[in-house]
Amino acid sequence: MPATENNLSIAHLILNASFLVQVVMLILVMASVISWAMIFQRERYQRKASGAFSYFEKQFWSGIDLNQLYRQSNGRNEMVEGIESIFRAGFKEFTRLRQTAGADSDAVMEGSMRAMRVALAREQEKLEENLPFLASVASVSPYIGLFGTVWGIMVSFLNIANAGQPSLATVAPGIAEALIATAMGLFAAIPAVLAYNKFSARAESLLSNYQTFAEEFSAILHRQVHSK
Amino acid sequence: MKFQKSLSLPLFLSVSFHTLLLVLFLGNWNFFKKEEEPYKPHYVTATLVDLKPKAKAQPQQTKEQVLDSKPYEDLKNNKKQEEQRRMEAEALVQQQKEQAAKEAAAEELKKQKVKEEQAKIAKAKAEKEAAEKKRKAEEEARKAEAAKKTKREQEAQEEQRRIQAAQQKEAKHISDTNDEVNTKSYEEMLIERVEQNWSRPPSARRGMEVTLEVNMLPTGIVTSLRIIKSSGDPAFDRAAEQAVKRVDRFTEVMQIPPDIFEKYFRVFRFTFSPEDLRS
Repeated sequence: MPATENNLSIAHLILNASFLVQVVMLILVMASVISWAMIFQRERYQRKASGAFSYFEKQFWSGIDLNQLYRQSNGRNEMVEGIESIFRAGFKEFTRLRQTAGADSDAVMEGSMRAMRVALAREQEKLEENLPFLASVASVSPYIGLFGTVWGIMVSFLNIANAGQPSLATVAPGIAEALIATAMGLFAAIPAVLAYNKFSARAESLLSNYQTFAEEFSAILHRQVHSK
Repeated sequence: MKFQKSLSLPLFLSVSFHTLLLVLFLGNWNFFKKEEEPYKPHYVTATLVDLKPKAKAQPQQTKEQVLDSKPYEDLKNNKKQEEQRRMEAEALVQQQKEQAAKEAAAEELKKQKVKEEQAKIAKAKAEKEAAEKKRKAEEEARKAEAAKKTKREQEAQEEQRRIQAAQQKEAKHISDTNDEVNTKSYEEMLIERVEQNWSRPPSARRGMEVTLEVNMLPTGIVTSLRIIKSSGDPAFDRAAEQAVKRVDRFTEVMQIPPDIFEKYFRVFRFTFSPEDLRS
């Protein structure tokens, strides 16, 4: 009996768990791995987006000619993302509408603003990508773990009833094994909750920055339209 | 500007993070396990004195001190006292020696004075006297030396005797208290264990008595048992045998210090008698 007690490690418990509990544990481990991958990815993406935003804003307000700024990003053949895409969408629409004859100034303004709104919506989508997954991991994985635990305890009690000799030594391993599932669920859920809160807050603040920028930019365009 | 959106690097990071966690966790777990199972050997330190044959009669003890419940502390105190006493005695001897030397010097001085005074009167006589005195002084010094030596020897002897006495006292104390008191209690424990497992056969009658000899290991496992004195009733004998067999392992034996175990419990005798039976 002491020998088996010494062998009773967590790995041992996991390997000896019943099939359903093992499946639950596998699901939770997968959820944890994927959510951590998303956390890393989101962190990187949002950091880059906010870096790009501050860089572009500095450039924009440095007094550079807007045409030049537009051509500068034209030179790069990559896809444009972040704040720059909003600027480009607005400016492109603006110049196009200005070149067409007979367009009055209000229509020009409205068109460029609509283009910017569309670009803004796309950016929002990109910023908040994967966040729903984190949210659902955060809210569901404790329940999945709890389910595994309940099932494991049920099975172990059934085993005890069949064995007919309930003692602490027969009850304890089953319950310990079942509780691992809850621990795993919490382990997956806690980082997901924290990450979700952090990233959604950051996405919101970035979006409001974008919106402010779009408003300011449209004010500049408005001035250009009406100054003539 | 293109922001990296691929999942491969984050996925790799995440998987490596999880494996790291897993390794740390399992590693720590093993470490805890290791820490938890130090095997404690019982009573290693205190038994050496005990192993000396008890049969050696105690010599005249200078003074029997009251044995309290802490013999080891007692012994330590004794030793400390002895040390102190010895130091004191040595200091005394030193003082004596110094005094002797001083006296000798004073005598020498006096002698010289006398010699100066009587130099003219009786030079030869004075010389003779001086020689004699010198010889006397030397003799005195030698005597003092001899006395000192004998004293030191005596002291050493006394110390040895005291250590011996202390050892014997300790041994006596341990054997007295442990052997008589603890042995009784250990015996009672064993008997109680056996009694719990003993079902008296209906054929048991008053006056029956069966003696079993049980060989035990220090872990309490019964290696063999045999009937030394049968009661005459095979059922009663078998019941007694069965009682010991059913205990199988006397876990209480593990608490018994090894020396006492060796002396009293390696081969232990149980005597069964249905005294408390009504029939």
